[in-house]
Amino acid sequence: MITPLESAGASGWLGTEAGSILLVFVVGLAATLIIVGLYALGIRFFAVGAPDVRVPDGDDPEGPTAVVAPRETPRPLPATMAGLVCFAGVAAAVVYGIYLVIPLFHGK
Amino acid sequence: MSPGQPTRFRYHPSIGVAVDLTVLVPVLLVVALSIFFDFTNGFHDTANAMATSVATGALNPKVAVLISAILNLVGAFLSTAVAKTVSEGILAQNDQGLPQITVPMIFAGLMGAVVWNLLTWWLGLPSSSTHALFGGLIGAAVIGVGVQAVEWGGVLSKIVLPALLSPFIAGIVALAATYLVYRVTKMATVAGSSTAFRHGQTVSASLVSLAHGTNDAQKTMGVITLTLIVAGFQEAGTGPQLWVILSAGLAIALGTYLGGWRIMRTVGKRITDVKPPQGFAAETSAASTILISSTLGFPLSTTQVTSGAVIGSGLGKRLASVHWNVVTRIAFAWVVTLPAAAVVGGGAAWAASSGIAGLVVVLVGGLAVCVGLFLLARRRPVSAENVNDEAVDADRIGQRQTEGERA
Repeated sequence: MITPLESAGASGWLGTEAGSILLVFVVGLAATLIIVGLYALGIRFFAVGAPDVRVPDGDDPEGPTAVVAPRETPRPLPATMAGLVCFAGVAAAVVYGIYLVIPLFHGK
Repeated sequence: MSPGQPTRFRYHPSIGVAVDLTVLVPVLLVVALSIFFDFTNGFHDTANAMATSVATGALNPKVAVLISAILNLVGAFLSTAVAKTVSEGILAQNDQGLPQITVPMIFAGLMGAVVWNLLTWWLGLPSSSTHALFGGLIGAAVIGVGVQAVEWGGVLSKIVLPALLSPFIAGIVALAATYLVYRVTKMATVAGSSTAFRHGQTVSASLVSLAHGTNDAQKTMGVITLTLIVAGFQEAGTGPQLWVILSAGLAIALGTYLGGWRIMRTVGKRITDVKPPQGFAAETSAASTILISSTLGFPLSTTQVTSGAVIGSGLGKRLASVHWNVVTRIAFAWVVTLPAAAVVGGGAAWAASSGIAGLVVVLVGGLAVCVGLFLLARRRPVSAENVNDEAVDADRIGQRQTEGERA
């Protein structure tokens, strides 16, 4: 859980501000990488059994040069489960985000 | 209230009693201009949340601005904590916790903010509305009261330092996120990935909109409440009244709905051509950076975080190009926003301090500039229909820039 820092006093603001900026950066980087990583993994799991879009290196996978093939085998149950776990993690992060936005929920 | 202030600023138990018109007229002008500023704020900042969603086709442009408008309106009602402390730490306060600023000065400061917001909108530049507001108020306070009316340490730590750092923070986070997303989904060639990224992006962009509403509508409420307190219509230390919350929320929502298409095009298409994985990475980085920074008591500007994240997502994709000339223009606008709004606000404060006649001059002059910019914008309009069309160009400066990009 993230706890709010006490606001910086008139003295020593530079040290405190630099500290909280660094904290925002570290927490923001970690949280973002976990969320987007989980989401991308979920996409990978859900795509098990479906061939990748074939596209020349560096081209747009939705562009005119892309070749989309139909699914070859149905998705195995473990892949579905793993994908759902990933997406559930992302959903939890979104709910926590809404909780953070609405001050009513945390008494501020 | 300081002893130097005239006695007419006494608390009126009810507005129904005979009120000095020289007090009431400026207050009404400030309320009207605050609501107009709030409108330009929504108008200007629609791009923050929705530019990349529109650019990637995750949302139809009209649907995007509708969602953003509703979430901004909802956000305005969620909290009024920021509204109470809008000028805290920026403007020096007296022993009653009120800044040493008069109603005409607030009016002048708002005029500076509105003029600057509309100018940067016409140029299609995503500059911070908050910086414009504080810049205008600072300029007005310096001219009207003196340099001691501003807490310069607070300006440095609450505005200048975050402004310098937030694009880099958001940019690096988005760069890493974009790289990771492209690695995991094999350059988005995994089946269904582009569609999934569009859905994910819609959710993150909505969170950004909601956070924007809880922050930015508050600032206008804070200014109106501050004015009512300074003029003696409301007790010091009380929060915004219902009609203030309602009108601020509606103004920002309407502004958001009408949409600053010019700025959207800059953020979504001209910094870098945002693709679904990049849009997802950029909006998610922006959402988490904004939420974490405000939770940790160090709120960063929504505008600067999103723009930084878009630049980062451009750098994080292999072979993706970032148009540095566009970025340079945006960075320039960020640097000059506060001083420029301060100069306009200061000039307006100088004129407005001469009394009602001066106020009228500021009002007419400011309105003339606003109407002029709207008319200029109509010559090369950017709308929901052509927001993603790279053939059109918003202004003459943009035209030159495009030629530079081709070279």
